[in-house]
Amino acid sequence: MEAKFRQAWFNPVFSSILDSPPERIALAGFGALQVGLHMTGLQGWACPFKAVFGIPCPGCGLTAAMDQLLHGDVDAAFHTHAFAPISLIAFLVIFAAVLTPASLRDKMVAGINRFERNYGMTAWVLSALILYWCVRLFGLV
Amino acid sequence: MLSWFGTALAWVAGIVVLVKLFQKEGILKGILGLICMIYTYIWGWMHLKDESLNLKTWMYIWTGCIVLGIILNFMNRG
Repeated sequence: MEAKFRQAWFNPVFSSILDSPPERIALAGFGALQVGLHMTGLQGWACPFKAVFGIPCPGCGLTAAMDQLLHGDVDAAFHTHAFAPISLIAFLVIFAAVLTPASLRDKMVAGINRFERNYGMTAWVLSALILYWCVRLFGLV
Repeated sequence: MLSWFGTALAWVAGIVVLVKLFQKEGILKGILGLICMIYTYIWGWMHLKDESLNLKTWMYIWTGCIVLGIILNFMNRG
């Protein structure tokens, strides 16, 4: 049981996405399109949870927050979604993985993979995001 | 009414693909797919040919609903 949990917790998720060409290219493309549409005032990908139930999902507000962050409005970005800086960094890393040459990308992916395996970085971030979502749902922030 | 039906159908298709993502890739990628449904959508198209997942019908429904949503959105604007 503990071994299974450890395996799941230290599973290198982010580096596996970076290592897969279709996943990183599609995510970079969709991410740029989503933020770009929001910046131009057009409606991008609407959250299906919010559209059906009116309840925001854990990632709701991230696009708007990243837009605010890109415009330098740090306070508003934090107010909209506290995970905006982490999401922006993740997207920049995905873009870097798309644009950099293979040798440099492999080194970067290997480094992130090691970091995930040793510290469970992705699991910590996702758990914190779920916790933040619960806190927001109950109106505590 | 049509818009709400399309959204609800897209939600059902999205949840089916998300459940398959959880089953195939584990809890962390599943949570990632929950937070970022775009990732679930991309993953669904990437695994369309995997017969064991049987995603084809759901991905076509999901995509159809997205296209319908875009058309209705433009019609409402006009």
